Amino acid sequence: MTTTRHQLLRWIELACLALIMLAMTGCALFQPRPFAVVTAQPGDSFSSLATKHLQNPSLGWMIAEMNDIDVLNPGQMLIIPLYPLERGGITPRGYQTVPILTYHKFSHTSKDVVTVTRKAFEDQMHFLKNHGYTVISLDEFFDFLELREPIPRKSVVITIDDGWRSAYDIAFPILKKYGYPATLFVYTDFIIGGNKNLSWAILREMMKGGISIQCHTRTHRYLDRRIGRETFKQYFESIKEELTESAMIIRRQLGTEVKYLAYPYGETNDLVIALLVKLGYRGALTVERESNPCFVNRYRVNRSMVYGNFDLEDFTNNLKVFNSQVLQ
Amino acid sequence: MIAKNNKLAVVCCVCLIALFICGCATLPHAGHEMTATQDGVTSPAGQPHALQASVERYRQLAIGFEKKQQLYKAVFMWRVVQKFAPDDRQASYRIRELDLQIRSEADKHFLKGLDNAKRSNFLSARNEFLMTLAYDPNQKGAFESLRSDTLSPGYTIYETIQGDTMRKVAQKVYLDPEKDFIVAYFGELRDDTDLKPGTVLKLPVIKSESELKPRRISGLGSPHVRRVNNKAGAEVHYRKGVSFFLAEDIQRAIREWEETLSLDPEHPNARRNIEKARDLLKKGQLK
Repeated sequence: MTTTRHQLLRWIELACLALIMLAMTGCALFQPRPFAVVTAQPGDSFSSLATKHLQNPSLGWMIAEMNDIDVLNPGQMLIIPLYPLERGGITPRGYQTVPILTYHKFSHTSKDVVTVTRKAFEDQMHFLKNHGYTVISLDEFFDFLELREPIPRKSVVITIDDGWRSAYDIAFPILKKYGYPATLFVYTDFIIGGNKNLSWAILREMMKGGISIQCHTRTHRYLDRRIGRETFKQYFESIKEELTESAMIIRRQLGTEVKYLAYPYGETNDLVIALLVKLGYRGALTVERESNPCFVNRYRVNRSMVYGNFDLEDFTNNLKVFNSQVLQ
Repeated sequence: MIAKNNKLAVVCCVCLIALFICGCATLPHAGHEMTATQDGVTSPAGQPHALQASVERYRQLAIGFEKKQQLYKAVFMWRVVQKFAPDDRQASYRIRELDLQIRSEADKHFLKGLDNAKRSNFLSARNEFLMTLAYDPNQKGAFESLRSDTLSPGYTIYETIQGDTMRKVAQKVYLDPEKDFIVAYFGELRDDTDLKPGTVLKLPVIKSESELKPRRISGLGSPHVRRVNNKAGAEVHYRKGVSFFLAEDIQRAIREWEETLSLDPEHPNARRNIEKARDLLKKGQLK
């Protein structure tokens, strides 16, 4: 009995020793490594190196920037910082801003205030590609707002509102061609299929093609004011339903997580925002024509509407990516 | 004896494995990749010219970052120089100087930020925290302060006292006991028994009834908003204009933006929007 006890105690001693050693090696393993020095190999790209060393392919631009190069050649020695050297694009001389573009309808030839022609849309996407802009997803944008991950200097987000069929017929193939992610905000009562409206089946297909489907309420009612003879209580119940039911329908139909809301008409108030926070929305977007710094209110994110009669100059006026305002 | 030897063997194995892992952790990665840590660096052996060229390149990059006032990146790059050339005096000197400057500027701004936050100067506090991060992106205090919602007031914080009911709280916070359901919903309360003294409630600010009313087409912003200043009033009309525009009611949108300009002639977007909207009307694309 005593022998067994002694043996047990010795094994515990040994286990403790092993644990101490493991803890020590753990410390050595997880000590911070400020940077890696890497020689580029044939086939390497900024993005592949970022995947390997930073676990995030979209951070390739950071390697390019820190080494002050645009093109990667085999044999080139590179420094890869392994911890963030910047947050939110903030510098003492100003800060990064991110424009979010908003579209509604598209057409082959005719245009009006909310309808952009196929050619104009194609030209705008081509412009982004040719002028070094990176189209990022809404998730990446919100990571930037939460100061989690840096994003490329010239980042842009693309959103489309409502659920018009032309988003699929015209915009979707162009977005796919350029490999751009986009977010489609749908109001669920509008998803009825047919010639003019999107259907759930089409939305499923768009999701597979890199489009995120998010909430634009159920009926597209004004959220910031009462309607008709609504009492305050009816108003509150109605807006709560707009935010919960639509998200539930999208989840049920598409099996996707609903995290963002585009306010109908871009209008909101503190009560709506408090509801969104309580319901677990990560953020919400208005139609204030401004680019977004990292410190923009997550529930009052600005978006710039692209009008049907915009020429390229009008378009570029909405692509402000840095504000040189000194913060002091 | 045999049992003793076995235990010794186990101890030796554990030590060897641990040492092996330790060794792996401190060695550079195999292949073409090398890693550098604060404690050690590997350099491209047998390539003195390449190394010298690299050192000069990183020196220039460090100087470039300094010129752009990006001190954190500059000190990072000087550290790269120092790792490749441990005796480089300029690198040692710049690292020391920049570290001091970064520390002092970051601390100065962070303390100012805390002070402003305490005095409810939220905008100034936010700017100070941003400046802190501009100097030191990994300053945890500033990072946490910016991510917390204390800088974006849209809530009323109410701490309950003895005798409070949901109706009483609604009366105190909203001047309307009928809004007790709001207190219940946001306070996650089933009934008054959940309302113990000292319960902290975070309740949303609710616009006055008049502001929540359906908007009159030609109506002006609420008196409450108009009293603040001309710019705030202008903003109300500007937003209304955007709403009309989105509803494709361009005539009304133009009227709202004209009202915006009458209150704030320098409004950054109203004039341009009017021009665009008139242009669209002229082309007969809109009503």
